[in-house]
Amino acid sequence: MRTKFDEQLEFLNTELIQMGALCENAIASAAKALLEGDDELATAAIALEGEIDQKEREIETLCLKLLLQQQPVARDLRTISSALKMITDMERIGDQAADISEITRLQNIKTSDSKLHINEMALATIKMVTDSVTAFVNRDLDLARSVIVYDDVVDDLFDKVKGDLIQLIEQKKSDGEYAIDLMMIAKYFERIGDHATNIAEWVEFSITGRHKEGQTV
Amino acid sequence: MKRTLFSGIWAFTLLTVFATSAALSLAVYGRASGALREATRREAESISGALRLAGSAYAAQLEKDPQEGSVCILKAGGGVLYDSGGGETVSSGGEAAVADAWKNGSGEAAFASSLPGKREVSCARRLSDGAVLLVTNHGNGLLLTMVSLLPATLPAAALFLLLAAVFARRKRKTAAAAISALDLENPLANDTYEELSPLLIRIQKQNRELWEKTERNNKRRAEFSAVTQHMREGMVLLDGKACVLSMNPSAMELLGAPEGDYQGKHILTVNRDLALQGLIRKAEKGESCQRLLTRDGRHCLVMAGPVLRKEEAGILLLLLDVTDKQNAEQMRREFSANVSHELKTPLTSISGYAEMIKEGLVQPRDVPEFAGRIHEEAGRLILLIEDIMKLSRLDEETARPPKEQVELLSLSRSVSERLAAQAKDAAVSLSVSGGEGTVWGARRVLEEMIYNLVDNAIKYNRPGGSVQVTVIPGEDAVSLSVKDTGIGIPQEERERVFERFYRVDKSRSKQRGGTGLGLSIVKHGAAFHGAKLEMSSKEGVGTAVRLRFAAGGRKI
Ligand SMILES: Nc1ncnc2c1ncn2[C@@H]1O[C@H](COP(=O)(O)OP(=O)(O)OP(=O)(O)O)[C@@H](O)[C@H]1O
Ligand SMILES: [Mg+2]
Repeated sequence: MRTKFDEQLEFLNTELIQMGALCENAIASAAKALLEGDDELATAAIALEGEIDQKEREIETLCLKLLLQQQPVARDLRTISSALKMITDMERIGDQAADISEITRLQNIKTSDSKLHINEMALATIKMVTDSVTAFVNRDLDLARSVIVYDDVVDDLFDKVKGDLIQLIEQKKSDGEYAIDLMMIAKYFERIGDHATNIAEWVEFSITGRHKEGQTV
Repeated sequence: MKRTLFSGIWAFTLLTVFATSAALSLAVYGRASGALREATRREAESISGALRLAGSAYAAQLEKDPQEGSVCILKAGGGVLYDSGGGETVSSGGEAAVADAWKNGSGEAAFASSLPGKREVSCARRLSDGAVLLVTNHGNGLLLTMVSLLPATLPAAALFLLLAAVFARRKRKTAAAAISALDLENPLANDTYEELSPLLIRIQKQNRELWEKTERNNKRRAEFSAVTQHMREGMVLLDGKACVLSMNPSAMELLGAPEGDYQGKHILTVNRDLALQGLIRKAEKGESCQRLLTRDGRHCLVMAGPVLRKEEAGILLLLLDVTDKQNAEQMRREFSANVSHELKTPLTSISGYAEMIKEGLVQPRDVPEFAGRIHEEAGRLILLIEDIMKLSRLDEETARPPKEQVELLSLSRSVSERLAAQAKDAAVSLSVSGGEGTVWGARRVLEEMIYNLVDNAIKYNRPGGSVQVTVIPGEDAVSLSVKDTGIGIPQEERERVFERFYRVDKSRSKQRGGTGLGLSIVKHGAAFHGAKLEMSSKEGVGTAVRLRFAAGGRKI
C-alpha cells in the first residue's frame, strides 16, 4: 500500500527531475548561445537561473518538511539527504550557466573560433549534466559511475583550452579581453563538470549507501 | 459468521442437555413417587398389623421425623388418638385418604406437601377398633428431583459443551481446510463436502461471467494495443499525476526513451524536455495545445489534450514525426528560390546581350561573339531545364522507365569513354576496374547516375589526381564505387549535396560549371533502384561514393 510518505517521496523525485531538466536546458542553451552567438538563447539561459533557484527553494522546503514530519530512516533518509545535496549542485550549475551567458552577451567571443577546444568542452559538459540527471532518473549506477569517470575528459579539455589560449597570446593573435573571457568560460564549464560529478556521486550514494568519501548512512 | 456457527452448536447442546436432564428428572421422579407410595402403603400395613397385635399401647411408641412424614391415628368418633407431628391438623391429602378409609376401609392420596417443593403421599387404614391410621410420607417434587440431580447433570452438561466446542472447532477447521483446498478456477471439478456444492455452483457461474468479461476486455485491449503498437504516430496516455498509463513504441522512439517499462512512471522519466513539460502543464489546466519538439535533429509535433472523464483527469499526447515534412518544406522553399535564381542568371545575361545588340551598342564585328555568348547561356538554360525535367520525370511515379538486365562494368566503361576527354583536360587519370555485375534496372537512369558521379569526381579533383570506378559483384549485392583524390566534402555538407541545386562552394562550383542537380539525380536514381547510397569523404584527400544494388539481373 502506498502511504502518504511514499507519495511525497515520489513527488520529491519528480521535482528533482524537473530541476535537473531545467539545469540541462540552462547549460545547453548557454553552450549553444556561446557556440552560435545566439543572444536570445543566452537570455533564456539567464532567465532559467531564476527558475532553478525557485525550484531549489521549493525542494529544500519539501525535504525539510519530510525530515521533520516523517523522521525517515535508512534508505528514505538517504534519498532525502542526497536530494538536499543534489539541489545545491544543480543550483550551482544554473548559476554558472547564467554566468557563461553573461559573458557571451558581451560579444567578445566570436563564433568563428570553432576550432578551439572550447566547443568540445561545452559538448562534454552538456553530456555530463544530461547523463547525471539521466542516471538519477533511471537509478542507473553504471551511468552515474561513467559520469564520475568522464570528469577527467572535461578536466583534460580545460587544460587544452588553456593551452590554446596561451598559444594565441604568444602569437599575439588575441586581445586580452577575449582570452580572459574564454578562460572564464572554460573554468565555468570545468566547474559545471565537477557539479555534475557531485550529482552522480549522490546518485551513487542514494543507491548504494556509500559515498566516495567513505561515509555511510 | 464464526460466532453464529459456534453459538448455534452451543445453544443446541445446551438445549439437548436441558431436555435430557428434564426427561431424566421426570423418570426419576416417576419411579421415586411410585416407590414412596409403595413404602407408605407398606408402612401403614405394618403399623396397622402391629397395632392389631399390641393394641393401642403400641401407638405411644410410634415416632416419625416430621421431615419424613407423620403417623396419626384418628378415633372413629372424631378426634385424634395419636399424632407423631404433635397434633397438627391433618393435611388435605390426608383428609381425602381418611375419608376413603372411613368409607372403604382404606384410602390413598397424593398431594403437594406443605413443605416447599415436596409432595406427600398419604395412606389410611381402618383399624379393627374402628379408628383410622393415617401414614403420610414426604417425597421430593419434580423440581426438587431435578435439583437433586444437578450434581450429576451439571458435569455432564459441562462435558457436552466442551465436546461441542471441540467438535465445532474441528468442524470449522475441516470446513476451512476444505474451502481453502477448493480449486476455485474449476469449482465443479472439486470432490468435496456436499454442503459446499451450492457455493461451488455459484462460483462456477460467476467464474464464467468474469471470464467472459475479462475475455471481452482483453480482446478490446488487444485490438487497441494492436492498433496503437503499429501506429506510426506516437501516442501516450497520462493519468492526472502525469504518470504513464500507456505508451506505444512510436512514442518511445520519438521521445528518445530507452527500452523499458514506463507504465506508472512519471512522464519526466521518459523525456525531460522543457517544452514538453510546458505542454503537459497546459493540458493539465484543461487546454489543448501543440508544439514542435526538436531532438537529435528530428522534428516532432506534439499535441497535448486533456481527457476528462467524471472525476478522473488524464492527458493524451499525440506525437508526429514531421522531420521529413519539415525538411521537404525547406527543400521546396530552397528549390523554388534556387530554381528561379538559376533560371534568371542566364536569362539576364541573354536579355542583356540582346538588348545591347538591339540598341546598336555592339560593333557589327563583335556581334558574332555576343551571339556566341547568348548561345552559350541559352545552352546552359537548356541543360538546366533538361536536368529539371529529368528530375521531375524521376519524381513522377507513373513515368518510370522500363527495367531490364544491365551490366554495370561495361556501362561504366562506356561512361568513362564519354568523359575521357574531360578527364584529360582536367589532367585526371580515369580507370574502371572490377568484375561484371548485372542488376535489374533502367539503363538510361543508371548511365545518368554513373555519369554524374564520374563527372563530379573529375570536376572536383585536383590536377594529377585520379578517378577509380570499381564494380564488385557479390553474393547478393553488386556494388559500384566512384573514388577520387579530389577536394573532398566537409562533414556537415555531406547530406546536403544531394539536394537539388545545392553546391558546397558556390563560387568555385560555378567556375567549374554545373547546376547542382547531379547528385540529386544520383539520389533519386538510387531510390528508384532500391540501391543503397553511401558517401565517405575526407577534406583535401578525396571522396568515395558507393552504390549497392541487389545482385542478379532479376527483378526484386
Ligand atoms: N567528388 C566530389 N568531390 C568534391 N565535391 C563534390 C564531389 N561531388 C560533388 N561535390 C560537391 O557537391 C556539390 C553538388 O554536386 P552535384 O553533382 O549535385 O552538382 P554540380 O556538380 O555542382 O552540378 P551538376 O552535376 O548538376 O553539373 C558540388 O557542387 C560539389 O561542391
Ligand atoms: Mg555534378
